[in-house]
Amino acid sequence: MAEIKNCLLPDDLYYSVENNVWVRDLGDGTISLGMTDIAQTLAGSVIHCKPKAAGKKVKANKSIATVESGKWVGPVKCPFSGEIVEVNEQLSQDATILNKSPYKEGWIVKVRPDNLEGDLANLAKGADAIPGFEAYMAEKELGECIHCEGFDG
Amino acid sequence: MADKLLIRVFTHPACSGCGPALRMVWEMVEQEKDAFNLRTVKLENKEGLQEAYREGIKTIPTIILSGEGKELERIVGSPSREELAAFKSHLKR
Repeated sequence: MAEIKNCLLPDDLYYSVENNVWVRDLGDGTISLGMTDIAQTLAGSVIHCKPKAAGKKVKANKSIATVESGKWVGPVKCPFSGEIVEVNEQLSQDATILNKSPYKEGWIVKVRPDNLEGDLANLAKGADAIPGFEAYMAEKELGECIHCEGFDG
Repeated sequence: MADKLLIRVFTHPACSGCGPALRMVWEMVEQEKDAFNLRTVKLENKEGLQEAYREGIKTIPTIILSGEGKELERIVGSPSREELAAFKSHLKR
């Protein structure tokens, strides 16, 4: 597990720093995607998460979900184009899962990318994402990630 | 009676353990109103987050007892009754 200022970045995940999302290669031509620990810290307590429906086509760096927190409303962007194949229905019941378990229970959508190999090659994996996130956190003036007791990284 | 001691409870709405921790502290402070002041530091706002950074807090709930500007005790995570009761050992009666 890579760590930067108490923010966790699991080694097996790929990261799009500019979109502040992680991507997990599910090994069947699809990926799951969610907000990073850094993203959930910046957002604060998430109130609603509304993903686009399964079957929708998405374009690179366009929204796959809208997230609303106590201090922010905005899109979660997918770093590549493809088709949404599944959405995490649990989030409609309890969006704070994104805060509590951003990398496990808190996946937002599963996507079948148009060009999986090429797309993953453009992302940083594990600790390789640290320099990018360091700069990102400095830009956002985020000092450290602070976790709730029982946080499931 | 000396100056009151300050108890700060660092919380966040997404933290399931923060509400019960705050209630426990509040109950103790209610019994010792002349001894303790209670302040909730909410991490969902910028001021609260900055205060948490200054105090080096990485996990919430965190409860800090301080007196005369110095930190006396710190509980990280949900407190037990015994841990909170230990705060009273700092009272000068």
